[in-house]
Amino acid sequence: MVFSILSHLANILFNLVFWKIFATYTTNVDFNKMFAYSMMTEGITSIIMIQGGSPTRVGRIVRRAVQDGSFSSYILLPYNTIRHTYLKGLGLSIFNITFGILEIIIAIIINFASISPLSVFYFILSLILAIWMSLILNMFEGALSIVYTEASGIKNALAHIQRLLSGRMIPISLFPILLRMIAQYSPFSITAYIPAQLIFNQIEEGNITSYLLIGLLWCIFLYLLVHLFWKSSLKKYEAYGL
Amino acid sequence: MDFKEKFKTTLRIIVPGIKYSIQKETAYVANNIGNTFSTFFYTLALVLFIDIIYTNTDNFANYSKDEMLIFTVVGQAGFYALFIFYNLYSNFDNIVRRGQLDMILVKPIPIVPYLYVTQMNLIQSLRDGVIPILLICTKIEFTHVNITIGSFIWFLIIFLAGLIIANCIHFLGASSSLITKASNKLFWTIHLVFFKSSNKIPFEGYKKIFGKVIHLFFPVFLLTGISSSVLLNKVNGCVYTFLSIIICIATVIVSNIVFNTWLKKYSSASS
Repeated sequence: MVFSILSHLANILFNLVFWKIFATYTTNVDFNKMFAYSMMTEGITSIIMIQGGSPTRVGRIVRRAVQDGSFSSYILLPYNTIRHTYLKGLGLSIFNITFGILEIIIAIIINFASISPLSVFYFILSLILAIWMSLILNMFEGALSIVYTEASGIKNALAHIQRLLSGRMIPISLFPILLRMIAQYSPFSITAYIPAQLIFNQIEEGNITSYLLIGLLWCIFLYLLVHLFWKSSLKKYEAYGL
Repeated sequence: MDFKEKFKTTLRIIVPGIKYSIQKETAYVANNIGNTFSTFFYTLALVLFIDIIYTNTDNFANYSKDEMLIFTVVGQAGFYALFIFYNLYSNFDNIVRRGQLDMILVKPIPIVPYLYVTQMNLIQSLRDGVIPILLICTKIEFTHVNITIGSFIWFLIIFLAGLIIANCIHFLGASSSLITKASNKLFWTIHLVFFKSSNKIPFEGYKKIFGKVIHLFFPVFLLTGISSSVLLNKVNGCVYTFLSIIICIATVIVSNIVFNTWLKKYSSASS
């Protein structure tokens, strides 16, 4: 518990130092806004269970269960496996989720002036999509583990792409134009950048619906795809480690 | 076991130990490919990150873009060098809790070298580390940075000292499970501090924010921050080299004493 708090605090401290230096050496960047953005994206990714360098808590549960053989008992239980592992992940992530909520509260306090009731409403809508997208990424990692047994490498590759294209490393608005276009309309932006920009009223009124709609379409499309992959993975699953 | 015998036994277990760890590393083909993709995307993300920073500024913590790329190369080299033994540190509490340590302790072999050689990620570190580092190097204009033979020699010594210190601290953090039975969170916190301190922000950046107080955390910054500052002739290499050697020797002695004390206090954790 103490070390979990310490690692979260260290993460916040490093973010603070980075943005402080960045704001010192650039003229078009406001430190408070950037730090609030950074805290907000960290908080969002914590509560949707995409954390740190090793994300996707639910995917990890499936991966480890496949490796130690306990996955067989998961699929024998009269529950929906995805729901079961998701709720288990939720329980295991409760500390990170609590800390994520604290990070969001701090971000709101720092940049309170930019927030309105409507922006909070849009934020909640986007957060629902972010949770859905996170579930899809989790399912994808889980399905990969069922097929390949050890899929941490692929998971890490996905994590790095997510970290960059979701705007967690640096806001997408600071990207070069071409990369900005790719990142904004990628499925990853809904997991951090879009909710953070929505709550701080950084997206123009006319574009809000289109961003949310694109997020929703990505969620539906990828959910169907990953769901099929999950089902076909289960068919291929051979009990391992028993 | 006297020192000579210990040394001979260590040499004998190195080759089979490395063979065993390589077999473990290469067991899952898809995962190996995945890891290669993972480091490729990480490097791509890092380079893009630096590009994005320098589209907004010409100077970050008194580092030009080429200097920042050098800092990144040093950071990556440090990370992958540290990663060779990452498996041991992250698995240490499992080794203790599952009773594997008890089985190792009854063997007539030196425990620390045995643990290191059987848990190393040598191939993975080389495979994942070398190509991305070379790729970043291709983006550097070496004529734009101030590197001399002298600064390179100081850098190598500091980097090595930093690596030994980082390994000692990681090892101590992980082996604290001998007395606490759960060291993973402590290890992870240590790793996060080392990783973050060698990533994104040069030592000069920390100095600008925290002033001289940052020198209290000197060992954490040796591996990347200070070594790259010395390499780029931004600080006096001679002073830092001397300090790093002293701290390195002290860390090795202290960690050896602490580990042996914990080992004496260790009572079997497995059921």
